[in-house]
Amino acid sequence: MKTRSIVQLCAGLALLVCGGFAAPENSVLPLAGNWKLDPARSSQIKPWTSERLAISAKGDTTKIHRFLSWGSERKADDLTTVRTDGVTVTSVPVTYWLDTWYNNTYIGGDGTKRVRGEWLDGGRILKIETTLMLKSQQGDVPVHLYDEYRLSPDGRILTLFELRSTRDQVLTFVFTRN
Amino acid sequence: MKTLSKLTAVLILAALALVPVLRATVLHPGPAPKEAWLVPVKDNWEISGALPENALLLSLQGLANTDAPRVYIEYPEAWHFHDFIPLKDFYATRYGIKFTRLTTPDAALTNLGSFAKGYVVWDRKARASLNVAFTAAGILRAVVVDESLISLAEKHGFKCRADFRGLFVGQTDLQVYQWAYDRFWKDCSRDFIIWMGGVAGTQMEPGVADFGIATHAFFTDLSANGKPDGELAFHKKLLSELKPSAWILGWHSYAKDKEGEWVTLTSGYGLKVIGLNSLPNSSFMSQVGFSPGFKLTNSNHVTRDTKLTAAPKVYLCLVQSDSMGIGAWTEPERGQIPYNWDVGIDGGIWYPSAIEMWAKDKTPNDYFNGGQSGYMYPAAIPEDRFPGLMKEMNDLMPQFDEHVISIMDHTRRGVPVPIGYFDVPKRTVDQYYKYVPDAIGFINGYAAAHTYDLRNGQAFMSYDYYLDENRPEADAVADLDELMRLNPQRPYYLLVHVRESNSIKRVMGIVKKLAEPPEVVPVDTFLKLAASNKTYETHYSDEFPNTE
Repeated sequence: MKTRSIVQLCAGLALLVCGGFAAPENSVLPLAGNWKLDPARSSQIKPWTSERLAISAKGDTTKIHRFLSWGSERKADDLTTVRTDGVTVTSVPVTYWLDTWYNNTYIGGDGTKRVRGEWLDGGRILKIETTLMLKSQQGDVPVHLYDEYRLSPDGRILTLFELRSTRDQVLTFVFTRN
Repeated sequence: MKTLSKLTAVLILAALALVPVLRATVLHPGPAPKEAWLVPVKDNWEISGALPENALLLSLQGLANTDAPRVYIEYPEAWHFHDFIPLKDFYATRYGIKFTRLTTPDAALTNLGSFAKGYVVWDRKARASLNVAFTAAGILRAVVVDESLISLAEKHGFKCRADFRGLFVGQTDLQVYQWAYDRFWKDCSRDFIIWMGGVAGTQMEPGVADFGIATHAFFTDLSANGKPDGELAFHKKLLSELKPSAWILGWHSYAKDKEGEWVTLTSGYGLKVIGLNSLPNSSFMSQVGFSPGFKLTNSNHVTRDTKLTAAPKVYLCLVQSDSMGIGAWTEPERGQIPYNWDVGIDGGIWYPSAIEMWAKDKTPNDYFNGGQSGYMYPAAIPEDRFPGLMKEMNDLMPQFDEHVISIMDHTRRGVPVPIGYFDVPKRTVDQYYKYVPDAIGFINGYAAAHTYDLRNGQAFMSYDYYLDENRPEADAVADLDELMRLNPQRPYYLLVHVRESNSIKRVMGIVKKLAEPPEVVPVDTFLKLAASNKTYETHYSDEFPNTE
């Protein structure tokens, strides 16, 4: 077991040193695991009252599963699967726009979002760019999202910075390991 | 225990024989009285606190007001319906009512005791027994007391008509209300029923008890969601035995179900709700009409036939849709920007004087929206009941000079979708266009929604934004700015539901900070502009099964 871990660690470090686009496996992916939003240090997500992330990786594919809940009766989740080679655009089905409940914007277009991921800073930062169509009163509008998931030096805090092409406000979400 | 039950039954049977044939004149408002009693209640609604004393006073009010407005309860400043607080002074100054204050239960019983024919005793160990006691009070014409107040009642010469002490301890609410049904339902009103919900546990805020007692209504707080077992079936049974035109006064129990579940259920029977359980003085207010010569007029800006042309800009419309009484009406900033207030036509029935007070106090920037008579979800209303409800609304709207229809449908509250559950299906939109051809237009939602249409010059618009009172100002500004980017065509019609707890000052601050300054317009103008240039896409919710 110990030997296996050392091998995996070496493999992971080799990838990072080489600046490879492929993410390491779960066991050495620093961002992997379950994360819980710290609402006090985050942009407001209300009416949602809690948010969790489950991040996992296999090869150059990373999955981010987001779970939102609002009291005991309303729950929603979405899964983003992204290739992190910096090139491949993945089409991800998406049912609801969960990010600004107050304006009740819907998912438009063909009900998918297109995502492209890339590791930065030796694997400390996961960058994801998303394009999708949002549907509002006047119909579909293309929207671009720029997300960076940044890990703290001690690996205990994950901070997500999000910029949307339609919003002049950086959104910041701070997660701690769950 | 057995003996006590027998004794109770004997007392009730004896009392039932004495039931008078009195029926209330509520909802038939007439001239104001020259004098009335003013009775303060305490700001404590704990079973172990002042609730027993407050319940006694409310029951006395219901008895005294059964055939005329005689008693006005003075609620504490913190009472939920704070917009009604100036009403007492309005009665005094506008109507000339001279109030005489009765500061203690003893004084109240001394002066009003002639309206009661005894007392009924509820059991502090069984909360639901207070609802049974309220029901019994209306039927038996008795004041409601707990054990500690029996001596006071007897001091005033009252005899016990029913004693529920020990009778319900350990029983479920279903068992208790079934017992009350078996004993009293045959004598209870089929026009009104009281849902004494709201706060639960060790408290009760029975503001609407006076009306229930005055009208011989049945009191309950049965669940609408299947838990506890059996309550839903009994709930449905009660609703099915009411008249089609009946009103449900009060509110659902916060401990048992959700507002959406409850109103979906009541709407499924075509019945209308008047909230809340804390609605004050309804037995008094509903019997006092407009003052002589008063005619309600709105701050109209357009008529049904007006033609406007929208300019290439953002039109912002602010609506406080929660009914008058609990919002921002009394704030000093009112009048500084166009603000729209939902004043359903039921307000003119249930509290005409309050409507008069607000109407006289309105500024040119205050516009009153109309809407359904009572609180109901149109998508849940049975198809054969919808035309009658719309006729009732159409008949009353002109009397109150109201021309805009406000719609809220929360039927899908129980449906597991995280977004979009305030949209209505096409069949509901069709019904409004068919049965309400004379309105200027329709506004829909509570949270934001996406139901839009335009037919025959009537725009059907939904709220694009819900302004939560706790949303930080910067976030609200960013949300609204983002909506303007998500809707790039101009004109853009931005309808905002202002949750009533927002102050007008805060709303003005948000509007001032928007990146693209909008023109803030009243809702009648907004709808006419929206009818002039349709930049929005027609949209309805998917059809969905009635969750009832």
